[in-house]
Amino acid sequence: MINIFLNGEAIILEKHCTLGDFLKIQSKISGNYAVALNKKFIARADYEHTVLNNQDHITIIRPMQGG
Amino acid sequence: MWNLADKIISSRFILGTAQYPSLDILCDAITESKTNIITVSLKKQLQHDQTENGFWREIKKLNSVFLPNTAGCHQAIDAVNTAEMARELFQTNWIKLEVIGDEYNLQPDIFELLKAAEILVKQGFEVFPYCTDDLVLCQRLVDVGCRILMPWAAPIGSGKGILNPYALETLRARLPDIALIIDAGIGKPSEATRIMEMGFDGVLLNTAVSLANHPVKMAAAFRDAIIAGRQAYEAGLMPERNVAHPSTLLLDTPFWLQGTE
Repeated sequence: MINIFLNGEAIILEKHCTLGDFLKIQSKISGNYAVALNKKFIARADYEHTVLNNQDHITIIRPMQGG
Repeated sequence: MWNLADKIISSRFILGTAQYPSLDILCDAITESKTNIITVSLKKQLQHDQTENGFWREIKKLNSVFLPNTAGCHQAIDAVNTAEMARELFQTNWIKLEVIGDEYNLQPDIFELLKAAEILVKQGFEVFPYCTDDLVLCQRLVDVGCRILMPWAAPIGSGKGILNPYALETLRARLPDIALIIDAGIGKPSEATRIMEMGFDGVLLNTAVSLANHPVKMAAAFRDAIIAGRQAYEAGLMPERNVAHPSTLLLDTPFWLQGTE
């Protein structure tokens, strides 16, 4: 088992998986978003070959108002 | 029409999307401003958030060009990372590069800004750097590949107007081929007009509209002010003179020299 964090919330995974596989099973994540893994941007094209490791922090980034 | 970074743009008014009383008022202000370009930003999704937010759903209906910013970044590496996320999120290589150096007046950290601009230009971004009015900084930003510069008129959100007209005039004169968009510090439509009369290519503002008593009406006021200033610049302002010149020819008027006889 590995522990990861999604937007600060702890999640336990039974085994290592790719970022792509993980995102597919998250009901709260849909629509337009970008992903940072351990504060570093991961391009959509790299989701399927980015393997999640213990203590990884995944941050979902959304559009917002800005000046 | 105006060619900005290879896009044909009709308005020289770029409007920010933050701090409006409501999403409806924001959308109405954008529509009324007739802007083609709006600035947007990025945020972390909070745990209780559900999927897409209303802002994105509404804003994408307006057919505006998005200019995402790197607000909140203090280091070049953070700004680069944010720009990369923005490129994917908003499907654009345009980035309003903000790297803040001082929390009190939100003055850019010009050293980190230059570093980030150089990296992002090499990565294929069209960098719109939010910068000070320092000529040498602006020249260095051009040297690393920026085709557009966005010097401040005054600190962000201050509404103080043009603090250093000499510096801005110098930038315009020394960088005639660079698109210069004044970003930040504008409080009144008359200040936007003056900037455009000085030959600047555009104005970017947010707070002056969003914090007005009637943001939609103020968006219209800035729209007209920017058009007026640009038209005046294109028409050519008359030279200022120290002595009066009668606008009406006095020769042959009925009472010409009457008082001297």
